[in-house]
Amino acid sequence: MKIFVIVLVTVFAWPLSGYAQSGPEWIWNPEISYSKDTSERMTLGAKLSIFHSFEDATEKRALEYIEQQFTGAYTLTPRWKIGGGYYYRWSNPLLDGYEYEHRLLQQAGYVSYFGDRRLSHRFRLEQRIRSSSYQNRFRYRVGFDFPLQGEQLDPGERYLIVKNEMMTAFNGSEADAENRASLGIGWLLGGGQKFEINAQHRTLDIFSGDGIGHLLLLNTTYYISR
Amino acid sequence: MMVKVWTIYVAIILGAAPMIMAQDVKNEIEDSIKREEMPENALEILDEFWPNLTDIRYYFQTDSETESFEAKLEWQGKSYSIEFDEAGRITDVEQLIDLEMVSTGAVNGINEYLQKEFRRLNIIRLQRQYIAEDEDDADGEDFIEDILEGDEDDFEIRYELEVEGRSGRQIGAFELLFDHSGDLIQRRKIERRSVDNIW
Repeated sequence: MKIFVIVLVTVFAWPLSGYAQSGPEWIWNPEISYSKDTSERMTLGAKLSIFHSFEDATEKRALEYIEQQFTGAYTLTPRWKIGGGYYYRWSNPLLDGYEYEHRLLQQAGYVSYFGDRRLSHRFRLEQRIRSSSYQNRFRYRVGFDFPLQGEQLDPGERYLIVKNEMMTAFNGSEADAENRASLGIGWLLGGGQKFEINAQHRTLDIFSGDGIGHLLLLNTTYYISR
Repeated sequence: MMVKVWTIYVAIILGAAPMIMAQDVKNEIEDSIKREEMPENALEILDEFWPNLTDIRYYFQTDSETESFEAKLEWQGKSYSIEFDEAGRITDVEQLIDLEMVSTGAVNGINEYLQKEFRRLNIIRLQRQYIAEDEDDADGEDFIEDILEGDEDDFEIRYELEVEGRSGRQIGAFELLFDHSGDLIQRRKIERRSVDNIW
């Protein structure tokens, strides 16, 4: 628990120290994820993700979106995977004039194993078809997770996870960049299940010229894999 | 409407609770422990052979039926893992080695098996296992002495390989155990954790 408190303080206090006056947005992002190996090489997954602002948390506008995610991944080698997916985002679902987004994605990932410590790289292309615009985006994420109790991660034990993702939108009017740094703690529950809490800091609109924005996000995800 | 939304959130979080409570507990667990938690006999053996070594890591392992203790250390440029039973008697010693260090008698058999069974192979880890030949050896000092002196008549040698590759329809990581002649004793696929949180 001490580690988790350090994680929260580090991730949330750091951006606040320099940019408190710009008023970062605070979000809670609960998710539930299910994935299944359908063959030796193929994995299918589904996830439900909700974006809820801590500000005016009881107001209808606080529910920023609900997103359903469907993905497939094919194991090319013991370390490389390729895959794709479709997301549907329902923005401001409680307000009149809600918006939607269809998202297609193609991705490749590489995982290195150092015992039970894992270093991952993910490269992703996205096509975001929104009710108001269209955007192409490229994302690169590096992640590292490792057991906190011993060299091997056993059921009931905790692990630490660190991730950083950089992304750029590269079509005309939508061109911009964003960075997402996160630090989290997870519990391996056994039976292919785990629970993770991540504190994430997003640096937004890096090239917009209107000033950099900040978003602080508390993500809680329950994973089930079969 | 907001009440409904919050109900969904609470259901997502709390809905997981029964699943958490109903976990099948994996039999084998490993935990790092403090030196003081090791059996006294085990510490005596370690202190006798490596009195000045301070960077030794200690582990406790159980498969719900048996319990064992492990000490991992670096000595003369090599990594050793020494396993003890509850009474502090040595059960086996493992040494991290390179393929060039495998005896000629074993390396041919191992290579032949790997070439026959795997495509695009990558050896991740290779360990030489020293198994005590009789109960007296397991009592401690003599066994370690035999290993450090390379007195191969007094212990059995096995080789444990962790490899990544494709074998038939299987793809992933495998653990292979060979005897001193390079004949396969055991093969098992290593079930790696899902990458759904980092992929």
